Amino acid sequence: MVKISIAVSIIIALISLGYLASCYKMTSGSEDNIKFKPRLADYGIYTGVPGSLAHSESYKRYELSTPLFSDYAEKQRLIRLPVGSSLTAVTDELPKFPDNTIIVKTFFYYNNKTDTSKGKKIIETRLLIKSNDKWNAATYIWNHQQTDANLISAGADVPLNWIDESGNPRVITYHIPNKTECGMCHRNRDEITVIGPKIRNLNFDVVRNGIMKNQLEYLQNVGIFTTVDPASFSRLPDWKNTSFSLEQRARAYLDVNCGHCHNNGGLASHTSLVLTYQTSLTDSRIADKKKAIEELMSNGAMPFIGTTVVDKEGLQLVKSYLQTLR
Amino acid sequence: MMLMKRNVLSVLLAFLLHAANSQQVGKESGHKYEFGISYLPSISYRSLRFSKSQEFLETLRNSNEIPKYSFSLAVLAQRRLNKNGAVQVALSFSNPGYKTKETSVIWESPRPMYPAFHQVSFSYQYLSVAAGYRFMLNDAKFVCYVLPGFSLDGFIQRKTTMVIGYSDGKKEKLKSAAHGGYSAGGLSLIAAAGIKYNLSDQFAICVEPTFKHGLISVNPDKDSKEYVYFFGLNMVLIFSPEK
Repeated sequence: MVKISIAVSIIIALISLGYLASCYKMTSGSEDNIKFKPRLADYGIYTGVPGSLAHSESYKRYELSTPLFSDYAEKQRLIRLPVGSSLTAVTDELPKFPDNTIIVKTFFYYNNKTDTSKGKKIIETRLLIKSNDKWNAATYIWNHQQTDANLISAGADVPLNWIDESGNPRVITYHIPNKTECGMCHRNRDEITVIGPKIRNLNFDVVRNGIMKNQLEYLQNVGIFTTVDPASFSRLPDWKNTSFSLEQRARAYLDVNCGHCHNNGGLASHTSLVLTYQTSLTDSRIADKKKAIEELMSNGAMPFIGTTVVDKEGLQLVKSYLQTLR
Repeated sequence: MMLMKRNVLSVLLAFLLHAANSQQVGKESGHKYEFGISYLPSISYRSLRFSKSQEFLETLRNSNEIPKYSFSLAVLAQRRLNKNGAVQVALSFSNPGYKTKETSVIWESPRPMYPAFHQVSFSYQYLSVAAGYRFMLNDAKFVCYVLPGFSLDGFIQRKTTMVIGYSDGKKEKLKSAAHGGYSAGGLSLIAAAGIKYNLSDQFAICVEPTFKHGLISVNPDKDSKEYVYFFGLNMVLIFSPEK
């Protein structure tokens, strides 16, 4: 009996050690090859009053046709390329970014979305900087005075409130991700990668200086892209635009909100559910797993990270689409 | 709530006094194997060890956050090694964490029906395997013992519960959970001391003031270490299959 007890104890200890080692491997983030500056102001992104989010000329604004849902946060996206360089669009996927590219994403909430002139609260700014062919990620939390943001690595929880577009009061606990959480979405095959600015998600009409034009053309005009013909690239539908089919809108939503993990190199590659837009319905296995998709999205278990509330409108879209599948 | 706690403490005290005065002494069970279930209500919190660059966040959190109630449930098994010692292993679920202070919600144009305050509670839920050595200090009707040990903690999820309060007294809860981004495995030290009282040949109860402190940060970031701990009163019902 004693011998059996000792043997069982040794086995449990070995399993536990193995488990702890695998846990460490899972949660340890990759090291940066640059040192991020402690304050956001050191990057000279904003001019004038920082809280206005008016950006300097060297940073160019871009939008996404279908953006990621982040607890109803508004986002400002900027890109800066090193002087003398530009991007070349080759496929519908991500362009090849040169070293020293800076991508900026700032999350904020309007105090009253029915009247945006009543001010906003800026929560965080995320930076992606490419150096020696490797992306580095950092998060800055804005101070209460909205004058600057400080580098944080631990993540934070920020209770906040606003009036939504229907005039209803909303209160949530906004979660700023820690460095490990950043890597969970932004990592593909052990490399940190950009997610949003795929060519197909940039290829739509935007309004700049009061004029509507294709965003790829606009970005070409301001020096971000070399010569680009928008017609030669596909477009990711705007999931809120009902002129697209239900399938197109739902697949676009799933691509942007789930596809960065549910792809062949992503965090959820083991699930065999592939949710990138270009994957055929058969290969995606959406139909096979529609019950699980609906259940996990409904109870907030999916997306795995990045949200604390369920995107009711997005969920409704996906549910409507899943009902059409056999 | 306070009245209920007082009643429970009174009953417990009366029971302990009665048992202490009973004539039956020297009956500590010598059972080789014992099994039990336990419930441990506790007060939990976290200690922050942030690097110089993150001190502003540590200061901010320490000014906004306070301890919260938590609990632990366990099943355990014990093997007697000798007259004074026994090895104990347990499988437990626990939810230590912290909460924010109750904070007023500021609206740009306030209205009576808008939420007036909020309070957020954060719980790190773990499934743990604990092992300890129970060292008996005496052999009597009341057996006093100390129980140092450790536990391997498997992270389940970080649960966030936001309580939103209205001026008319109404409250609502918003719950969410994060399953990733935190240390998936943990190691904790446990220190407990307690009294065991034999109810019969096969049943006994234990009351153990227990302290547990995490040794591995719940946040894997090297600049922002966060260690969860709790202190509580463990109540154990022990059963032995042997007579």
